[in-house]
Amino acid sequence: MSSAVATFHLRVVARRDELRRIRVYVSDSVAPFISPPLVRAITLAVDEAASNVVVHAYEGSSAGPLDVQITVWETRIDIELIDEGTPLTGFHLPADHPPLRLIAGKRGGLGLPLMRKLMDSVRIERVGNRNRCLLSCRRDKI
Amino acid sequence: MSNFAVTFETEDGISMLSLQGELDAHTAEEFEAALLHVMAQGSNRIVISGEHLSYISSAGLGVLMAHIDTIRTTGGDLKVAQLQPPVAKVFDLLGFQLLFEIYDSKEEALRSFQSKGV
Repeated sequence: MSSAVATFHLRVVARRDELRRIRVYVSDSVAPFISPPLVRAITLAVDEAASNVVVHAYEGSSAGPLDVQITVWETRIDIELIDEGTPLTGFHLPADHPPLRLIAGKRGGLGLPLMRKLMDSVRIERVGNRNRCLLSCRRDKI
Repeated sequence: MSNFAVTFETEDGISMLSLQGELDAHTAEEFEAALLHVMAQGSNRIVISGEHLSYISSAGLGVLMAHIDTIRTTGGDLKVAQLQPPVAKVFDLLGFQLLFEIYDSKEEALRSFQSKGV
């Protein structure tokens, strides 16, 4: 089993005004290992996942912690986001997820399709009392 | 303090909103307030300029989706111009070019309103 090339960890309070800090941390962490376009893709995917936590997992309650764990492997990068908010039910992706349909007047529902287009895999699951989102992509994706 | 700002201009009765900085789930509220402000003033011909917009997430795109129907129902339109390549890529990934007219320059976007008599 290969060992990680590098690991990074950030813990923030899951608030909207922390999203930029997450983006800067992620892009600075992964930049030495991948191309600039892939840095942007990963940063956006993480931002989308973090926004889901801020907006939905802690919706209606005081903000809680959000852990962002980045693992750089020989050929891929994994990013794990873990929060202690309410279950992100409805965000679990069905195996045969339908294509995105843009509907004028409907503001939401764009984040998950965008994450799927940016990353090789997206998994959102409930582990105990926590939500776990795992984003993964090849280092040579773009 | 957010890393985002909106400036307003009017030209030939067309409202132009120039976005600067990063449009995400934190700053989307500010963008939406600006858009609602021009709509409340009776404007239904709107150009969004992204010349100085360095980042956009789905929250920003969601603001456009939320209000485009209302604008078009009144006979107007909202058009997009001058997107930086990384931002244009996000529009493209979600197929927004199918729903919005996107121009390389503000001038082209303005002319498109005039040529269609909108």
